[in-house]
Amino acid sequence: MVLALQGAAVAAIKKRSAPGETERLQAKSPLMRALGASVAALPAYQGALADAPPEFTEVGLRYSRYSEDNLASDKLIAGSRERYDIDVTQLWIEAPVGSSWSIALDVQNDYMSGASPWFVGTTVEGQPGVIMSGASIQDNRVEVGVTTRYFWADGNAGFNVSHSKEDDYEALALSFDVAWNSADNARTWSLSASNSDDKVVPVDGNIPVFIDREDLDTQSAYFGVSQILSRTAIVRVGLSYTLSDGYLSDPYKLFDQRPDRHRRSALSAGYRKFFTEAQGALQFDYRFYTDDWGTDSHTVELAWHQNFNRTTLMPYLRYYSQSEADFFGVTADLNADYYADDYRLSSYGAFTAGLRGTVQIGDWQLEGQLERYESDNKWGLYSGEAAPALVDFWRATVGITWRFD
Amino acid sequence: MGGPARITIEHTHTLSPIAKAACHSAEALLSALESRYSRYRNNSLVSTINRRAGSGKRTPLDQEAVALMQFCQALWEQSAGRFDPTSGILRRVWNFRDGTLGDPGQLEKLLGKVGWDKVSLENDSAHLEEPEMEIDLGGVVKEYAADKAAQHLRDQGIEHALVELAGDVVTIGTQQGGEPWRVGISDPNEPANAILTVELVNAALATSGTYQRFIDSNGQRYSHFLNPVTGWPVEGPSSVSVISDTCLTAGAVATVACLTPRAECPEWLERAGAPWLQVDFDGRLSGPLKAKNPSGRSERTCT
Repeated sequence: MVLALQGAAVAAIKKRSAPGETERLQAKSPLMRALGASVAALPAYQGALADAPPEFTEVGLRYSRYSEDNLASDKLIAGSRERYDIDVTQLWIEAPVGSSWSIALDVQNDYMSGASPWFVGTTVEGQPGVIMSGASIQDNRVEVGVTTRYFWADGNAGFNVSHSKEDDYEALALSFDVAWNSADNARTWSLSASNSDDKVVPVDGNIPVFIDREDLDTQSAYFGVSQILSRTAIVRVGLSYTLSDGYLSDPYKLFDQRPDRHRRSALSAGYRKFFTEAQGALQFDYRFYTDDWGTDSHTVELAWHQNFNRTTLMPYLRYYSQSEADFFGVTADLNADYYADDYRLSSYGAFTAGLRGTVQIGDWQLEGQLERYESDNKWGLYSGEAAPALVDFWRATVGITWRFD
Repeated sequence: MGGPARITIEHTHTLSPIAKAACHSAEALLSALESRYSRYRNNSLVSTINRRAGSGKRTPLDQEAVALMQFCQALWEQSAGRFDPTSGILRRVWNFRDGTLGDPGQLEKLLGKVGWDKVSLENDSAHLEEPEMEIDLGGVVKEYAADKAAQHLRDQGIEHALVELAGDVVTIGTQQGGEPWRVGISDPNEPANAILTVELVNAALATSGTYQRFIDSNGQRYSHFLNPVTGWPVEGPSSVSVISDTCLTAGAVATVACLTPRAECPEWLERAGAPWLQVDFDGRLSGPLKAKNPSGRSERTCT
């Protein structure tokens, strides 16, 4: 069942997915998918329609442009108002191997340029303001991942290795995931585990750094269940746990001293309901996150997936709210054991609105997506100090996929 | 199920007893399905449902019957009502031997008893809301039976087999030597001859067609497929063949195509996204299966 992939900590699959897409769709027309739900309930197909490798080889290319709004001038104390731009290029190839295996290669290149907040000070008016990192930095990151997957009658299992390298950071990650279906194919259980060994070697440039090299290890695990409720509805729930040990501070922030351990848990749930007359599906997702740094967050996403003859359109709206970390301060408290003025640890709420569309032309699929994200301390469910460097951004994505025998 | 059945199993000498046993048990399975869903058998599930039409008495359904009825529901919705298992009673007013309409008044009366929306499916039971309504699952059960027989053979460890029920085919693996199964699509005008040959591996081929059952009226040729809304024959193709991973879905797409006016068939078939061949009454062929193979042989294989 396709929802078995939700939450898997397999880096390659996560990287290949466009924002908001957590499932891979089978290579069937909307008409065949509409008939397929009742076919799957028939006893004759309980074994026949179990997991199988992809029927086609798929090659895809995707480009995303992420662009943060300039910092408001009344929030700037020194440096450039311009913030980050990131160009992301993804290439993937997935192919069946024999009757039970598949292999996938994912390559991603991120080109980052711009400035980021260095620390938070106080303006002449006595308000918090941002000192930015100076002249625009430029950095390139390349990540390569290989996933091999084995399919049997009742499920599938995958193993992924990925390596990521940029000027100041290198990571090697291994992950394993398995999904298995109940006898009636109505329920799928998913389990995954991953380990990442990271090295931080900050580059001494426009701003000084105070470490030479640090290490960070991260392990994570996920367990989830999805259940077909009827021929038009599916529900899923999942639980994840992540443990990071090592250097967790941000070396490019002047006042940033974080604990060397970080435990994170998340509970997620999703519901999909297909409306046959409308040929569309309602998608609802919720996620609760909590960690031992004192941060809790809620994410709610609502989307409508509309099928047309050879196109799909999916508008979506997401709301996010988090509480601040225990050691966060708008201006860092240097007397405390731990301190950070990083806006990503502050209390805020955020809205994301987006539209994703696909067009099928023969064996080719074109996709496009546009997303707008805005955040504000006042939109959050939790009280806390307002960080002056909260970010707003646009993200645009275009992609093309080719499937062939 | 209205036609001949053939099961072909290719095996080594040592597997002969297993193959024989699998074949016998598959035959028994087909007989059981026919007993259960045939409208010609008084004590079948379908006959029981039909007998209770309009009475308020619901008929319990097992998981398989519920799923078959739900499949009919889905196909009825996807075909905008063209596929309707309650429309069989309309044939009473047509004489396909001499191509005439019996009593137009009776047609109007029968149309009131047609409509899948009058079939109540609740709590794993079924009821037909109008007296004298009838359902006929022959349009899906034959193809489902072919799939079920094939899956039964796979469960017995059979790796090379072909199941054919009245022209609908399901293949398991390849032939023993590794070659695909070669299956001919009958010429609807000369059913003994193949108009095209396709190669199948773990795939199903279903064909729906008139096979010389048609009506000529006012210079137009109509198939014996009836429009469930008007009660009149459809000006459809002579036959349509579809390849898919299951015979049930292939047959469903082919059947709806035959219930569609000729000119609109390609749009429906393109929607399905599966390889197809349409044969019109004038012998003209169209569709990807013909386009890929002008010589008449298809390289289409499904795995």
